[in-house]
Parts: sequence; C-alpha cells; structure tokens
Amino acid sequence: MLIIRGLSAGYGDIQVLHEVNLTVDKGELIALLGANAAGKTTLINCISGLVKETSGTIEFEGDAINALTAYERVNRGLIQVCEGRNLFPLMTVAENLQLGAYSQRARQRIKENLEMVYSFLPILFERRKQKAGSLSGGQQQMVAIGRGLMADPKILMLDEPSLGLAPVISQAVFETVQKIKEQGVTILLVEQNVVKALQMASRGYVLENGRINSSGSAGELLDDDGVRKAYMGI
Amino acid sequence: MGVMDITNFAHGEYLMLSLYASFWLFEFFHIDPYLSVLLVIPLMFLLGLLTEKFLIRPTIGKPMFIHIFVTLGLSVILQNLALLLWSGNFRTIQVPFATHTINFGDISISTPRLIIFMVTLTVAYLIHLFLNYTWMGKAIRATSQNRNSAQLMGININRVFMVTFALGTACLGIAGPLLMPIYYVYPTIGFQFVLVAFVAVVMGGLGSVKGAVLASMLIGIIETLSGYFLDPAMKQAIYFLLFILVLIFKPSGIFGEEGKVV
Ligand SMILES: Nc1ncnc2c1ncn2[C@@H]1O[C@H](COP(=O)(O)OP(=O)(O)O)[C@@H](O)[C@H]1O
Ligand SMILES: [Mg+2]
Repeated sequence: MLIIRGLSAGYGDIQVLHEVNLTVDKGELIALLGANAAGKTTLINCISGLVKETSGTIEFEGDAINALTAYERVNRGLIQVCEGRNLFPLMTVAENLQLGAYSQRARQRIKENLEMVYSFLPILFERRKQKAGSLSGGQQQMVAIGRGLMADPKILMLDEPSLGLAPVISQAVFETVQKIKEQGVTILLVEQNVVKALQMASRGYVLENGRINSSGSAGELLDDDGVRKAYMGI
Repeated sequence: MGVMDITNFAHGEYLMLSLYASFWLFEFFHIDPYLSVLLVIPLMFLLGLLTEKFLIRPTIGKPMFIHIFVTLGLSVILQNLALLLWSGNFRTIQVPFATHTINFGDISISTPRLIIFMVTLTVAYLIHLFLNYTWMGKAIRATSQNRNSAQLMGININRVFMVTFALGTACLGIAGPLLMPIYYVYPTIGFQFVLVAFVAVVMGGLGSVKGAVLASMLIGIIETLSGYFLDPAMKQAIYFLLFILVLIFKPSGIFGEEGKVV
C-alpha cells in the first residue's frame, strides 16, 4: 500500500534521512522505532508532504505521490496524527473533529465517522463543546486521534501518541490504537515504547541516525539483542 | 500577525485605490458610489488575489523583514503611481446625498456616516458568521492557530492565504465608495486610516473582531468628545494617550488573550 524507496531528506544543509526503505501493506500495523532525533518525525512528515525529500520515491496505492502537496495526500486517505497533539486550541472539540473531515473525500462520510469516533471515544462526546486547549494531555491526544479518524484514513500514521502521558493514559491510547487496527485501518505507529508497539505490530523498522538499522517481524525484533539492548535496557 | 503572520504595510494604499476607483467611476460614468461599491468590491477582491499570489506568497515562511520590505515597497510604489497618474490634488465628488441628515429630535445624524456605521457592523457580523460557520472560515481559523496541523487536515493553506488576503482588500472595496461622498482622496490618504485602524486592532486585542469594533467606537467617541470639549487639534493625541495606557496596563489589548502580546 505504501512503499518508500531510497528516501533521503533533511533541513537546509543537514541531512537527516539516508536512503530509507520501508513498506506497509494493507491492514498491517507497522511499528517505526528509534531513539530521540533518529528522524522518525522527519520520515512521517516526508510521507505527509510537509517535508520535501531530496531523493527517493514514495508510492501510495501504486502511484508515486512525491509531487503531490500535503492536502492532496490527505485527500487520498494518507493521514497523519502528528507528534505533540497540535490541536486547534481555540476551537471546540467538535470543531477540531469536524476539521479532521475537511478533505472532499472525508466530508462525504462525516456523519458516520463522527458517530464512530464518539462511540470509540465517549469522552470526546462529553467534552465536545469545550475548547480543545483546555483539555488534559490525554484527552487532547484522544481528540488528535479522533480527528485522524474523521479523515476516513486508508493509512493512519501516529507519531508518538503516548508521548508525555501518564502510564494509565498511555495504556488507554494503546487500546484505542488496537481498536482502530481491528477496524481494518492500516497503521504506521511511531513509538518510543518499543515493547508495547511491537506487541501490537506485525512488523517493525528501527531507525538509527536516519538509517533503517534493522527490520523484521515483531517477534524477531523483540528477540533481537541489539534492539533489546538499545531500547529496552535489557 | 493573524492568519498569515504578515503585516501588510500597503493596506492603506488599497483603500486609496478603492477611493480612486469610486471617484473615477463617478467622474467618468456618473455611477453613484452607493452603486459603484458593487463593482469596486469584486475589483478589490481580484486585486487582492493577484497581490497575494505574486507578491505576498513568495515571502511566506521567509524572515519577517522580507515581507515588511515587500509590502512597504508596494506601498511606496502605489503612492507614487497614484501621484504620477492622478496628481497630488485632493479630489472629491459632489453628491447631494453627502450632506443629508436624519433627525431624531434634537440630534441630527449624517446619513452617509450612519450608513457606514451600519454597513461596518453588518460586515463585521457577516465575517463572524463566515469564520464560524463555513468550511473556508473554519479553515482560515485553523490555519491561524496551527499551520502544520491545518495542512494535515487537508487544508490548502495557499488557498486560505489567498482568500484571507483578498477578503481584506474586498472590505476596503466596501470602505472606499462609502467614504467617498464625505471624504476626499489623494495619493497618501491611506496612511491616516491605517494608523487609526492599527490602533483600533491592537487596542481591541489582536485577532479579536469584537475588540476591534469596540475599540473603533471608543476611538470615535474620544475623538469627537475631545474635539468638542478640548481642542480639535488634540483629537489624535487623546486617543493615542489612551492607546499607550492600554499598552502599559494590558499589553494584549482590551479583549486580547493573555500572552498574545503585540
Ligand atoms: N524543522 C527542523 N529544522 C531543522 N532540523 C530539524 C527540524 N526538525 C527536526 N530536525 C532535526 O532532525 C533530526 C531528526 O529529528 P526528528 O525527525 O524530529 O526525530 P525523531 O522524531 O525521531 O525524534 C534531529 O536532529 C532534529 O534536530
Ligand atoms: Mg519525533
């Protein structure tokens, strides 16, 4: 569904990604792992079209999408829930969700999707009239995920959804991700919580200093000594 | 500031163009300003679209001084172009309606000014509805609150910038013809309007439509009262004094959110 070949990118003179290859098949949950500043967000932003790659190709459902703008990619169902929530703080929860369905494609199913999101995340229904900026971190993350679902994603890229959340709340976030996966949505999950991510994933990639250092099935990575040393402290 | 994070120093010159447009439409074709406004609005909207696309767009995301220089340069060019084409003369039009008044008992109100007042309130209300109840309006608000997230929602932010900018110039397309019967136009007239508009927007609180409307009324009342009771020459000094006091005691403006300082 999503095939990335030889992708390099950076900011100004600094190259961050070096020849990254990555594939996500339909219905899979892929974990993208790596330490801080490894380039995970940069990779996701390249796929979304927010960062322009210097070389390489991004193929989505058989089409090269390198030349498409960010909003055109959203309109094709390539959706990102970005790191750090980044809601529209002065808007209500309901407005944030509605904006998730901004693309022509998603607008057609806005009613069904809103019902689905509210039944998935009932807290959002309770808080729908509240300003998004006034919610707690965990609730904001739920709005961010709900906003992503409103976009009717074919592939949902979640960038560290548990970042900065208390363990109990991270747990709730992971359960939500699991439920989304069970709905048949293809997911690319960026996580620092390696064990949790690999428990849900079918396969994973480990990014180190902008290069894919290892990849394989979730089981293989969980047993990999290098991965265990680097990310699980074992 | 605002949606695009730019300050357009040529804003006043667009008002100047709008005033000239209604002036020439009256001179050549005898179209009453209250009619020509329907022509000037789309003209100014189009001009805004073109300016944004070709002059402002290339400056977005660049260091701040670049758009300052571009819009300041544009302002100087437009002033001099007007001077060259239409001379520095003060020009005005004679319509009988200009001196029309409506009387409420002892109070008599200038009808053209009353029209301006009511149109301004109506337009402010329409903008409020547009921003809160349409997809494009919400996209504009979203873009002003978080540009990256807006793109991830599938919003074409270039289109948002274009529409926002052009709506701004279209509003000047309303202001020009409505001001023409009671005002005059000359190449540098934009500056005095921009100055007071700037004070109103900052005093009301950046980004607050309600604040800007109320601050404008406050300035109007202060201007009139100080002109009447003190000295007409003191009019501007008094509201600038109030402006300074507001900036000292509530830097975010009367209706501004805390932390959103100029
Ligand atoms: N907007 C930016 N401008 C310049 N450098 C950046 C920018 N964003 C990220 N970087 C740099 O790129 C590298 C990778 O960052 P990032 O992709 O955010 O990593 P991760 O998401 O894995 O923590 C880091 O060294 C970071 O400092
Ligand atoms: Mg990151």
